[in-house]
Amino acid sequence: MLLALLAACQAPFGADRHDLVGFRVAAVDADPVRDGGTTTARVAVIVDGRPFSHAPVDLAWYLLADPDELLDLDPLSTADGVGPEPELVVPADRRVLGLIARQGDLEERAFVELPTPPASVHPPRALTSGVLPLPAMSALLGPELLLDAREALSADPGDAVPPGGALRLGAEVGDEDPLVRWMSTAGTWFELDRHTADWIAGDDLLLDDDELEGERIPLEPQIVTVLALALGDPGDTAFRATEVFVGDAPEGVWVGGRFLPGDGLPEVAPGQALTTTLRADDTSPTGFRLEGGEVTDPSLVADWGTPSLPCVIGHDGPLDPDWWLTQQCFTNGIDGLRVGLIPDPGGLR
Amino acid sequence: MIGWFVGVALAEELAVEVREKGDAGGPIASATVDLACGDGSRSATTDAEGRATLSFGTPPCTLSVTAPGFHATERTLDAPGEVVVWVRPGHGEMEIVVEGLKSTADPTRYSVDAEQAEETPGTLDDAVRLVQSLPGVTVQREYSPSSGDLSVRGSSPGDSRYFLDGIEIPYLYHYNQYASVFPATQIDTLELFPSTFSARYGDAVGAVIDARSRIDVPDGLHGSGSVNFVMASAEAKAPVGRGWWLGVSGRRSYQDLAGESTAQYTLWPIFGDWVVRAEHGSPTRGTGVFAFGASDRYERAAGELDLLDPLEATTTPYLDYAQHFEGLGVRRQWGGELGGRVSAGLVRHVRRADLSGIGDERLESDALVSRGDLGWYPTAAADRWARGLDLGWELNSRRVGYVIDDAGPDGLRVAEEAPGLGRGVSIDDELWRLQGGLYGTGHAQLGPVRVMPGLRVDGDSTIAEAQVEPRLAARWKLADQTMIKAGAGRYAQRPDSEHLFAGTGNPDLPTTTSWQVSGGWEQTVSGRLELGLEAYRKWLFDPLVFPIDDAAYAVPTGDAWGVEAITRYRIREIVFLWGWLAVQQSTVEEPDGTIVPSDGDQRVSGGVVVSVDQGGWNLGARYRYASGLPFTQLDGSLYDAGNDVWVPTPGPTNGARLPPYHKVDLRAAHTWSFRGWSLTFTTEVWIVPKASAQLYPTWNFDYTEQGWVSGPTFLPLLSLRAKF
Repeated sequence: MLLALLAACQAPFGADRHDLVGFRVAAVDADPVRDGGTTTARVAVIVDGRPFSHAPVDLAWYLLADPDELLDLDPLSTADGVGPEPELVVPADRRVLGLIARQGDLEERAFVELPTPPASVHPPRALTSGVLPLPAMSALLGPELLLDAREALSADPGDAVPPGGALRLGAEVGDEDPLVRWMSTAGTWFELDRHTADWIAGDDLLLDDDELEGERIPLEPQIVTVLALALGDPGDTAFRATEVFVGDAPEGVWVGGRFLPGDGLPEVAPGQALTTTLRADDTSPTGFRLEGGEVTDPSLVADWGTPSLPCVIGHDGPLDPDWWLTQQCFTNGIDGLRVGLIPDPGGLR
Repeated sequence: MIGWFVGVALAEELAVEVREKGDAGGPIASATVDLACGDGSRSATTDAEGRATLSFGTPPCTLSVTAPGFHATERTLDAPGEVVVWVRPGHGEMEIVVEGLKSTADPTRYSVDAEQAEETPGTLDDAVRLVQSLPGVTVQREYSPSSGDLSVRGSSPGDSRYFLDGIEIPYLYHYNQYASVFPATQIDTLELFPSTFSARYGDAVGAVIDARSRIDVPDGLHGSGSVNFVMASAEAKAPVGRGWWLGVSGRRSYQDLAGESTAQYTLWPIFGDWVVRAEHGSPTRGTGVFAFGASDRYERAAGELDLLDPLEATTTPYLDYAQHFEGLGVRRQWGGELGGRVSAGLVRHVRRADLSGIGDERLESDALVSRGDLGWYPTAAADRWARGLDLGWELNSRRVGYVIDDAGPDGLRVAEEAPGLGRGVSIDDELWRLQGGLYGTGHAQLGPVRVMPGLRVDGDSTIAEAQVEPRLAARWKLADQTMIKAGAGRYAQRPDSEHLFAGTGNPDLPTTTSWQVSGGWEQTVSGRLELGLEAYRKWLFDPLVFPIDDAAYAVPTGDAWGVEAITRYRIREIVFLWGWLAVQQSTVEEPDGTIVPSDGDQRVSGGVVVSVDQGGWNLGARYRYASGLPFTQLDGSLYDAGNDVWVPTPGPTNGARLPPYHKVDLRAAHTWSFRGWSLTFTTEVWIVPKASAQLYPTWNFDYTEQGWVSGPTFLPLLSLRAKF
């Protein structure tokens, strides 16, 4: 009775840390470095809820003595490094790497207290997915989502579920046994163990005292990008992204574990390259889709087309979809460009 | 007694014994007993044992009993013999209570008693909660984390001191919110001195609360038991011979016994308190030996489980928290030209917190305390300008041990309850401390003006300096029902011991000092309606602030001013009402010179209380309004990408405010009186508009979205009390 009477309540917030929404620095990965050594940093940035940006994101990097210094930094002040993948010499008295990410009026600040070698974590080798035999979201009560109940479930191979369905995502990690944090551009997460989490293709699900609350809104059919962030020793992180599907998986191709949707794509044998045309598409995890193309031997590709891509870092070689998540490239002016890429073995859908 | 009854029966006489109906049940002396029979009337008066004997006439006879302060009772009798007549307490002479117009050396002194505490809606028999309905006292939101904080005239909760029968108690509220650590039934009066108090009290720049135990000598075994939705209590007292009486009292929460627990609270909060007293004599001359104690304990998850992912919830550490104190004291009070009260005691206080074995802290204090307050008011001086002198001392010796085993970053999550764990250090240290003070206050009558200069000198072994604190109060009685008053003085307070440890605190913390002035006007209308208006100003130097993750430090200055109006009307056990309105501002100067609102800066507060007793019923209502207290908004965050956590970036200190607070409490109680005991059933309802129900702010994962934890807007409460 007392609980019922006195229970203070709080309206749930619109987003939690699993949600890749708005303008967000989702992850920063800096190489471990000794005093006086050189480190390289990478960042995953979400722009307007998408894992890519139409225009370049301003990325300014600062070596600091204390994280609090980042609070007062003028974003227009001279940075120690700029761009998506800076190389920085780290003095002994400034081992905090600060980042100010800006686009238009939006700004995010993040920092990493730089780790020392050896590295304690590496990016997950692969991200796996399977379909969970959970009841339809509308029939869920809450106890089915408790940790014990989900541990008893096993998933069938698959990466596509109908709206409201559930997937189990896992990270293949090395011997480091990092804690993996999961994020996605849509859906709701319930983590299972250090490397595994269950994902439901719906929003507004809130587990409160073993009861499921909220409106339980199924996701519309779409491609959802999942980001797995592996946490090693303090400051030492690594990340990897992949895609899952709500509704039927569309036609497309897997490249480096990322999915690129496409139309009229030819069959590609393992090890072969695909030369294709890019079409701007905001529903794609990279902001473009593939259209048609020809299959060739990679050794015979004279022009991968990637130097022509709208990027802030020059590339020459097969296209990598992660260039957009890590803000090395953007999508303005991408429509109609021809590029070459090498699909993963068996990566064509 | 049986022989007396047998004797009068054989003699065709009527033996009447008159006793009070209800829990007191004692004999009524001097009651008038009239017996009207067919052959005429006869009358008698009861003796000290409530007995009277009359000759029985021609039946039927009508027996009438009347006694001052009791309802008249009649019954018809057909035969002689013995009869016990129970008369119900009524309202004989009305006692009008006027608190003001007293020439004390404290310009402002608010007093509440058990009747007000028991009958004021919304206080739940809690005398201290009633204090939060007095002018100048910050109105706190019920059941918010700060609802037990007593912030007076802009002071911080730690700036005030709390005494029970002259012995300082370590903390005032169970769990800092549910109930104060002593029940209203044990309290005779509770006095609040909000500022500019006399030299009697020292080591406080805020307020002083002085509670005095009820010393009404029982004529037999009496007691009571009660239960409400949170606690059950029982008390009893009885004479034990040689002029001594013994009293015991205990309260305990019981929801944990009822199996209440949640994933969040694996051990539902348990709290209780107890008092054992042996008293000899009267309130004006007597001796008391007493022991008291209070305890609190719970175990909760360090994070809000509802907001955590299920996997995170399984790895969240749990805080096992306990706090308790026990005291043993002796008190001697006496009246006359040289009257006073001397008390001494031993108080042990322990606070411990264990964070799932990751880290823990234990703070324990053993204090030997004593104080004496003497007053010399010779009768022969009644016509002289020098009227009297107050003298007294305070001497406290304590050992404080502090052990902290650092819990790492998780410690910050429980720093509200276990502040040592929030500072990220380990210590194992102890502090021996001696504090003493001497004071004197003279009372001089200069025509219509009573002037009361005082001086207090305090010393503390933690710093090589003495504090000299002059105080002055004056009261000018302009007419029988009009008085103006003023007070001024210097006040000083050393930091609590736990802030003086090296490592987790700062042994060099300065003494907070304050100059305070106040002045006001008191008026009674027709000798019963009281009106009061008062203004005050406080200047603070080196006030302390307490960061959650670091040692306390002093800021340069603080400032508070305010104006308070109050009106009171009271006829004891019939009706009381009061209303108040307070306007104030309280600021502190940050190290960079910025002036910001202090935590207790409640600009406007006010309310009205009314309680009426009629025919076994008590009906009451209370309305309170308060403008919102300030808090520091969290203005986004820095993303600690190496640990995947967000570090909030605070906005301007106390730059945001809670919404205004409105609360209505309604109370209805009925007492059924039986032979020798009574039963009281109480129902209360609290109503808080939805727009005022916010208890405290919360933020989302990256501190970009602010929400509120809200309390109930409508809450019915029930309690039952039996007394004998």
